[in-house]
Formats: sequence, C-alpha cells, structure tokens
Amino acid sequence: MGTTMRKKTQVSFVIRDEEERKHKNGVSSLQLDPVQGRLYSAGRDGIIRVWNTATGVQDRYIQSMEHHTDWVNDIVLCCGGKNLISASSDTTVKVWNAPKGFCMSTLRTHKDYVRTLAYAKDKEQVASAGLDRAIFLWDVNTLTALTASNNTVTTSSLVGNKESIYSLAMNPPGTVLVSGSTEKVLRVWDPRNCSRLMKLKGHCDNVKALVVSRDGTQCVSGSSDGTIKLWSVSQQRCVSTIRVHSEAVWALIATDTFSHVISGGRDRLVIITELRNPENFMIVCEETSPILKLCFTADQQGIWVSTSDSDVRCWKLPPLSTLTSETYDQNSYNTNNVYQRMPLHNIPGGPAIRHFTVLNDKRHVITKDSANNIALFDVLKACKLEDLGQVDYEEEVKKRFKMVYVPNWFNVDLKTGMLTIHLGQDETDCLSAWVSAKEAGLTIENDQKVNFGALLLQALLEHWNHRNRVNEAGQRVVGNNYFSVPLHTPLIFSEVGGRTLYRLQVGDAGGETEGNLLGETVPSWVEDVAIELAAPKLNKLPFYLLPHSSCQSKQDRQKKDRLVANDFIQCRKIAEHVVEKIVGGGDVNGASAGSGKGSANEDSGNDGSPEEKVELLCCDQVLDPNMDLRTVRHFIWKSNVEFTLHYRILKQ
Amino acid sequence: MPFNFVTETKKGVDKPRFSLSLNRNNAPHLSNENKKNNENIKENTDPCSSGNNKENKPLKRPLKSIYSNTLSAAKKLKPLSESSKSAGPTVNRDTATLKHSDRTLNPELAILEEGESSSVMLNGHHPPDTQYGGVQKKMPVSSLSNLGNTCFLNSVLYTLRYAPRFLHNLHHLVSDLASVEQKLGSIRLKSSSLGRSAAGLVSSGTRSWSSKDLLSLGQSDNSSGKSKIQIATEKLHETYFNLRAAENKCLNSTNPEATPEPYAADAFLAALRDVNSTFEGNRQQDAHELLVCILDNIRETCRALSARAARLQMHENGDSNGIGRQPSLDGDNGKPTLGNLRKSWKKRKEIKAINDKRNSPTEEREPSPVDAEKDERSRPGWDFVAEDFEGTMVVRTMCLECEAVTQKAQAVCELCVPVGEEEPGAEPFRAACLSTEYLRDQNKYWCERCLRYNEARRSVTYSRLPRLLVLQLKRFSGGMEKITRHAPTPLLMPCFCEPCASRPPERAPQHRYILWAVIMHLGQTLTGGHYVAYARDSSCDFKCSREGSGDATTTSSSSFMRTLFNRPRHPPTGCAAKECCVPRPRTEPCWLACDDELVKPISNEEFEDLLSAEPKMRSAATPYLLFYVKSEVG
Repeated sequence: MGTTMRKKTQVSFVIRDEEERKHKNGVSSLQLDPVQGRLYSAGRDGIIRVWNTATGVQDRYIQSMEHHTDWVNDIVLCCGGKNLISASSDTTVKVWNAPKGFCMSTLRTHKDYVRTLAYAKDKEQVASAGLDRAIFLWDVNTLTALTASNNTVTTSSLVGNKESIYSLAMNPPGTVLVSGSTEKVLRVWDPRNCSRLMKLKGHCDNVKALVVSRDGTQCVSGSSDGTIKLWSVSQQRCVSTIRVHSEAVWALIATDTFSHVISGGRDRLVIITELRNPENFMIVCEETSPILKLCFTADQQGIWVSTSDSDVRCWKLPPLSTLTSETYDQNSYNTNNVYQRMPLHNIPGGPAIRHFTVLNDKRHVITKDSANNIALFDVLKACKLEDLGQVDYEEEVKKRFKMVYVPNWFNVDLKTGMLTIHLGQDETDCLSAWVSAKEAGLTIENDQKVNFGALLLQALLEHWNHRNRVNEAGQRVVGNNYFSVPLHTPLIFSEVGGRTLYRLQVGDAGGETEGNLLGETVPSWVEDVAIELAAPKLNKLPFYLLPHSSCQSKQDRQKKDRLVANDFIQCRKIAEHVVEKIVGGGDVNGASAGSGKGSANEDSGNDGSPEEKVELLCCDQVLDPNMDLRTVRHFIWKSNVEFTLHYRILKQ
Repeated sequence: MPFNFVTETKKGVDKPRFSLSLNRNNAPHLSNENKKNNENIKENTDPCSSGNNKENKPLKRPLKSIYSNTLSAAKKLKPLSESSKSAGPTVNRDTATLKHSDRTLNPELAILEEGESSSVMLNGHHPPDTQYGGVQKKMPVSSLSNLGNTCFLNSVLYTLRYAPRFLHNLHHLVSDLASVEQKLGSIRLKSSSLGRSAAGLVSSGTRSWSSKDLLSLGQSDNSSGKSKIQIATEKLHETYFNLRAAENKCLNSTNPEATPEPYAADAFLAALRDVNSTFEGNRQQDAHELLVCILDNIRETCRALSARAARLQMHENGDSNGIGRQPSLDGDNGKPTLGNLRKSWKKRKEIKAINDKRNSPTEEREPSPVDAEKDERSRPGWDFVAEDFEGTMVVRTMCLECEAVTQKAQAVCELCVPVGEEEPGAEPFRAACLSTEYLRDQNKYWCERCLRYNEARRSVTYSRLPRLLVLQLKRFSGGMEKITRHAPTPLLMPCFCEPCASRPPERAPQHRYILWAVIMHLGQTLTGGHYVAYARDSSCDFKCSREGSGDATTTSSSSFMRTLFNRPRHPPTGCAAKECCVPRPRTEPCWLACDDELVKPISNEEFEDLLSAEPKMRSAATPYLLFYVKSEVG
C-alpha cells in the first residue's frame, strides 16, 4: 500500500427549496456585466446569483449558479461576460458559462479555502489564492477549453508566500500582481515570469483588500488595522496612510484614473477618498452590516455594495468634483453626515438559519433564522414540515420534547445559512438509529424496526442506476419502501472535514456520467446499505437484571444476570424474559413475599401479558413497558456503565 | 548538642501559644473598655517596632567578625547536620546529594573567606563609612536543617520568609484566625450559659482555651472544625515564628558568637503531608509544586476564616441587641438592629455610591474608597494570595473572517517560561508570556458568528499581574532531561501587564518588577538534584493598615473590625507581625544564599555572577523559579 490512506467520505445533503431566489447569507463578491446589465453576486450560501440591473425592473432575479458546497468567496467575470470564475471555501475554483449559468469545470489545486481572485483583463489571466498560502495563475482561455477528455491544465504558481492570503490584485495588462496576507506585508510579483519583486511593509494587521493601478506603479491596500495605504510600487514605499475608517477595511475599489478610492469595511460605512488629498473624503452611505464588496455601476455614477447580510444595494456616488474640503465639513465627520440615506436599488436577501435544535427523536430539527422565524424540518425526508412564524423558539423546542432516546446519526451545519445535514461518518455512526417503523409513522404494522440512516441513504441514492439494483426476482429495487426525498436535494460527498469530492442533485443520479462518478465516490458501506439493501448491524446493549429488594424470592438469586439485548427493545420484552426464564412459566406464587404495593400500570384484564405479572424498575422507578432499553439507560439510569434493571413480581 | 536543639524548638513553640492564650483570656474583659478607648487613641502611639529595634539592636561589631562568625558556625553545623542525619532513619540517598552540594559550595566559602579578609565582598555597594568603620549590627540568620530530601521545602520556606510582606500577611491571617475562633468560642459559651441547658454551663465551666476544646463546643455550628489545611497554615507561621525566635535568642545572648541552631521544620512538613500525600515519604519533590500547595493552603485558610468571620459577624449583630434580651418580646424598639442598620447603610451607599465590597451593617462613618480598600485588606480572611500571587490572563480570539473577538479571562498563579533554543531578546519573559498564534490549517477555529470553521488569531495577555510574580522556567519540558542552557535573569524588568504593554514605546511602563528571590536547581533531572534559594533580605517600608494610626482598627476599620479587634491583641500596636515572625529588618539590604543549614549573605556582585551566562564560580545550578516584586514607577 504505497498510496496514502484515503480519507473517510462524508455524505451530506441540503434541505432547501428547489429554487432559492434570494441570498440566504452574506454576499462576498459582486461582478457587473455592463453590456448585458447583469449583476453577478457570490453568496455565502454557496450560490452565485444573477440579477437584472435595468431600471424599473420589479423582479431582478435571473438565475442561480449552483455547484459550490460552501461559501463562494470571490468571483471574476471574464471574456467579455462569457465566463465567470469563482473561488470557494469548498477549496475549489470553478469555471462557469456565465450567460447560461452552468459549471464548466472545477479546479482542485488548492488545499484550503480559496479566498480571493485577481483578473488581468488584457491577458485574460486569473490568479487564485487562499488559506493554503498558494497563488495559482490561470489562463482563462485554457480553462474554458477544458472538456471531459481534455481535462489537464497547467498552472503557474507564485511561491514564497508564508501566510494565509486574504487579498489579491493584478493590473489589467498583467504585469504586476500583489497579495495581502496575515503576514501583514504586501508581496509583489511579476506574473509574466512568476518572479518575486518586493515586499511592502507598513500594515500592522491582515491585508484584506487590494487595488493596483493600470500601469502597475501604484497600489492601494485596505487592512484590518483600519487604514488604507497608498503605495508607490516603483519606489517601493508607502506614499500615504488614509485613516477614514474606524474599523477594519475589507473592500476597496479605485476609479479608472486612480484618482479616488472607495472603501468599506467593518464600520459599515462606504467612504470615497481622494487619493492624493486624503482630507477630501465623504461618507457615501451607511450599510446595515460590515461591507464585503464594492462594484461600480455601468456608468460609474453609483456603486453596488454587498455586506455580510444578504441584501445587495446600489448607492449613488457623489460627483468627484464636489469632494473638496470646502463643500464637505470635515469637522462633522460622523454618520449623521452621509451623502445618501436611501439606496438607488435594493436586491433584498432572505434570512439565514442561525440556530437549530435536534429534537429527541433524532429526526426533527427546529430552526430559527436571522429574522426570528421558527421552522420545523424533517431530516429523514429531507424537507421542511412547517413554518411556525415568529414564535418563541425555546417554547417550541420544549413543546416537542419526547422522552425517547435515539442515538445521534447526523450533524447539522449552518455555515451556508441553509440546513446542511452531514450523515454519520461511518456505519456505526450513521446506522445507529433503529426505531419502530410504527412509531416513526412510516407504517401501521407492528414490531417492524427501521434504521433512519439506512432509509435516508436509500432515498438519497434512489435514482442511481447501479448495476446491482435488481433483486432475486429480477425486479428493480427502488429506494426504501416508505418515502422519497425531494429530487432537487443537493447531495454532497466530501472528505471528512475537508474538500468536496462530488455534488449532484438527488434526481440527477440516474445519468450515466453521474452513475460513474457516484461509483467512484460512494463509500462501500453506503453502497451496501443503499443498493444491496444490506441490513445494518444492530446495537447491542448489555445490562444486569436483578430481583428488586422488596421481592425476596425463595431461591434468593444473588448472582447478577448479565444480559445483552438490542438497544431498541421495549421493557415489555424484558418482562417477558423474566416471566419465561426466571420466574419459570408463570410460577410466581410465593416469590412475591410481602411488598404487594400497587404498581403504576395495573391492568384489570388477565390475559397473561407479562407486564401484569412482572414490573421492571430502574433506579427504583417503575418502567413503562413501551419504553425502550436505551431510553431507560439515557433518562433513568443516566450512565453508560453497569446498567442495571430490577424486576418485581406482582400478585396474580 | 541534639538535646539542646530540641529544647530550643520547644521553647519556640511554647512562646506564641502563651501570648495568644493570654490574649484570649483578656479579651472578654477588655472589650468594653476598649470600645471607648479606641476612639481616643489616635496616631500618637508610635509603631513600637522602630523603638524596640533600637533597644534590641545588638552591640555594634566589626563586620569581619560577624562573617567569620557565621561562616564558622556554618562550618560547625555541617558535621552536626550530617551526623544527625545518619542517626535518623530517613537518611538514604539524600546524604549523597547533600555532600555533593557541600562540595559545590565549599569553593564559594573559600572565596568568601578570602573576600572577608579584604572586607569588600559584602559591601561593594555600601557607603564607605560602614565598610571600613568596622561597625555593623549583629545579624544572626536562622537556618533550616535538612530532614532528608527536604531541600525543596527549605528553599521555598527561605524564599517565602523574605517575600516582601508575605509573612506580615500570613501573620495577620493566623492571628485573625485565632481571634475569630476564640470569639466564636466565647459566643458559644455565652449562648450556652444564657441558654436553657445546664450542659452548656458545665462545659463552659471547664475554662479550657485550647482551640480543640473551643471546637468541640462549637461542633453544632458545623464546619468550624480545624481543617488539616488550616493546621498546615498555622504550622507554617509557627515555623517562621521559631526562626525569628532563634535569632532573637542569639541577639539577646551574652555570647557574641551565638548563632541560631538550624531549625527543623518537621512540624510543618508533617502538617503538609497531612494535607497533601504527594509530599509523603522522603522523596525529592518539585519546589514549585510545594509552593503552589502552600499558597493553596493559605488561600483555603483565608476562605475558611472569611466564612467564620461572617458567622461571627452575625453573632455580633445579635449581641449588639443584647444577648440577654428576651426574644420576640420588645421587638426592635428602635434599637439599632440588623435590619434597620442595613437599610440606613444602603441609603448612604446609594447617595455616596461608594463601591464597597464589605457589607457592614453597623457602619457608623462613611468610608472613603481608600478606607474601603484598607478595610478590605484588614478584613479577617482577606485572600492576600489572590492579590499577591494571582494575575489575570486574558485570552482573546479573533475570527479572521468576521473579526469579532471573544475574550476569556482567568486567574493565573505563576507564569511558565519555556527555555527555548534561540537566544531570547531584550525582554525574554515578556515575549514568552505574551503570545499570539494563528489557528489555521487543520486547527481552525469554530466561529459562533460565522457558524463555521475559520482562521483565527489567538493572543494571550495579562490584564493584571500579581504583586509577587513567580516565573517558572520550563526546564523539564517533555522528557526528564533538563534543559541546562542559560536563560538570562534580569534583576529588573519592565512590566508587561496590558496597561503597561499597550503603552507606546516612548512612554515608560507604569510598573516594573524587581527580582527578590531565585530558587536554583542543581542536577540533571527533575526527580533528583538539589535546590538552593537566593533571597534578598531587605526591610521593606511597608506600613500596615493596622498600625501607624494608633490602634488602627479603631479609626480605619469598620465597627465590625472594632468589635473583633478592639482589644490590643499585641499591645500596644495593631500590628505585631514585626515582633512575631517577620525577619528583623536589615539596615542594608543583601542577598542571602540559603542552602539548607547554610545561610550566608553574598554581595550583589556575587549574586549577579551566579546568574550570568558564565559564572566565575562554576556551578551546575540553574535558576528554576524566579520571584519578582512589583514596584510602581514614579
């Protein structure tokens, strides 16, 4: 085994609507196609959306570009609006057909979150960089020419960088590339020969925004230290430090002539500053959340602003000529003195799910979003059950408490603002939850046990055209016999705690390419359960069974009976065991000396059911015959060791 | 010799008992008188310490003779200690260590003796008149005998003995403890005698004042049982009392050559072992671990005393209404009851908005904030360990995506400083203690705002550093092999607490730290070797809040304090620490090399040489624990 151990594969899916027309989380990046009048926005919900910017349009939504599985951190529109390149925390860079909105190829060279992109328009070159400290230089025309057969691409990497990169910039001719990182210095490269040119020192914190002038002689940087610095690349020095923001500067954009810079950041203000006379500045607007990205309108009279909130707004810029100390009173620098109070346009976003509680049945999840809406989801069926509105979250959770214990078999992830479910990483985790099908409301038949993880995997891979998908009788086996999940459900396979391997929608699994890719990605244990319908292992629970102290039986069994049973069996079954094996065929007379205390569930009927002959106790609490063993251990015994039950024989 | 030795210790032990019990007996009778008197007594009563000192001052003797004196004493002691060791059952391998240490120290002795003859050694920093004037006070110094692998204990005991203000605080803790206990005992007696049961009268008739009897009386009052921890604290104090007593004895002795016998701190060690079984057996121990244990004990004792004092306060308040008062008959009658007073106190508090931690219902005058602090410090059970040895570490984590900062503060007792490979910079400890790291790659930070794993920056700073800063040099990281490389030990270092560290470089920090002790470790492993303490003996000009203004408790303390301490516990001042256990002040501060039975003054130059990268006196000893005291700048 010369190759490294393959990492575990995690199966995840997203519970969402088929079409999500609104951003559900912050918007990291914006790109405008001035010709088409289309605005591309990169969402932290993993979706790039396209908007119509034409005036007078009511519904601006055009389409979604979905393929990323994590925050989209940056996008670049290239080839005159034909292609879009995106960088994501799923560690990939993707190439898109921009007008049609589909993903053409995925570049997996980065090993950590890809945080930033830079674009040299004249050369159609794009650079990507991220937390893996690497910078890769891509030729867009090569990228767009990639096909399934011709899928190799060479890339130049710029080496020497020591820390995580948070910002990148190139000038349009592609002669200068600058990177900003937690190293607090700017590193400058010549992308033509990938040579290191210089380091520019001066910032005292992370550098999160960069702009390079067209000729590559000047550079503006925005840093978490709250300053904006104008650098002379040719003189290798900082020309001026602009202190207009009160907090970290996260977004920068410069006018074509490099005369003015517009900046935004953690203080939620958009400020325009004259680079050569930084005392001439003006607050353009105040946003509701920290600003992540700025983008000029086509006429450069306005600016699109995206924030860590899901709304995208367009604001009018002040005429550059009015930006003088005379017209703008510097002494009244405060947020009461902003140029615009109302945005020109607003593309409203939706609320992100911020809180969740998995209910005891390990099937239902209650969520609360950033607008305080409460919703109830069914993880097993991958759907939302109910919008409860703006009700009391804690109250709803409390209301739905059931005294049952079911093992954990999935995790909930809210990083995208939508409900992502990660199934347990292996068989023991994912397939641990056995429940009664009747109690799960899946069937009316009694005594049938189902496994939540297995049912869900079967439903998620229901459409996979697997060659073994035929039973002995020659009939095609489809999914589980109880339910299906929505066809649009995104199904994601990824390395545990890391990179995405494959994403598809549940309904698309039937395709040939998809089938082949699934064959490569799906872990064998998942295949066994979903396709071969192999029965998952049962969880055994050891316990001790002793006569209760109030019940001095004649033979006085002091020996501890160590028993093992499936964790979901009901107390009734154990009572049966007591009646049959220990008491011995209903011979109870004499055994129940004294006591005679009435039990909680005394039935008048004498049909010989075990619970009438024997009652079970745990920690001196009489147990409901319908309660299962793991619930008793979790809620009554409250320990994982020496789980002990007592039985007490009742008078006949 | 051994007999002599034993009797002397015994005497030492008896002494404080006597004085304390005297005090207790007097207390009930004095209490009323003193209430009046105390109001009149103002600042007239000069703290007797200085006056007494003058009287006690030994004959001025030439410097040379003292030193040859101590030296000869030390030499004389050596065979004694060794012989006494071999007699005991606990000798084993320790003698080897001891011999080893003696060997290493012998050259020092020789050098010192040479130095003596030229009489510059010690007084390199002295004004010339004392240097050559040949007048020097007799300054006997007590030493501790090795009880078998107890150099770890001795080095810590020596260090704490010279810790600025430490013994003073310990003294008050122990005396307050005795006082509160006695008071509680007498209340129990009173209530039982006034109460209905004859049994109470019988038991009170025994008139026994031993604390154990008091306890048995108050047993119903729960938790007042003298804990092992409390006993250990008392034994610690007793040890220091005996060390001082031995010095006093020499001073008062007619024999000018008298030097104190090495003292065996076995009583304390036994009490310590009762508390913490780690120190059982005669194994070698980590001095640092011991220090932590001692400080924990004291802290616990403070807490216990605090709780007991609170209980006493409740009793006192009941008493103020008249113990004999018929319950529930005349009601409050306008008398100042607990409830009434608390109300009025609250009112005043609202008006003045003074932040006073105490809740003293019988307060009669409004305390100024300074008084409040003073009061807090003289409150029985005030946790001086927290103030003197605890700093506050602040850990801040900033998500690099949303840049929100989460902050956690926690108390830290000592700072661990790794002895790294690379040469440290100008401020070695600052760099080691204030750290910044990135959480990245596989170790990302789960940000509660972003609801995901992001990169983060985590920094460690100290919002407050203790008055007595203990630095532990991590010489035993990982394996047992000791890192022997030299780590610079600055005599003076700028403070790196947050208010100081965040100042612009051109502005000097508000405080700085002065080295006052070092515990050195000899040997190659943590489990084996020898400890030697170097401590600076300097009389600090510290004024106890309980002295100075006559019976300080009257004027500056709450009336609760008054009721508690309105009798002169150690007449005529409120603070008798200087006469009890605190080492006699030296006129000239000086470093003492404390190596079990051997305690000798060394010059600053010698001390600095020891700490230098290449000491002239080659020594395998490496600094292990560094002790600094905070001093305000300007």
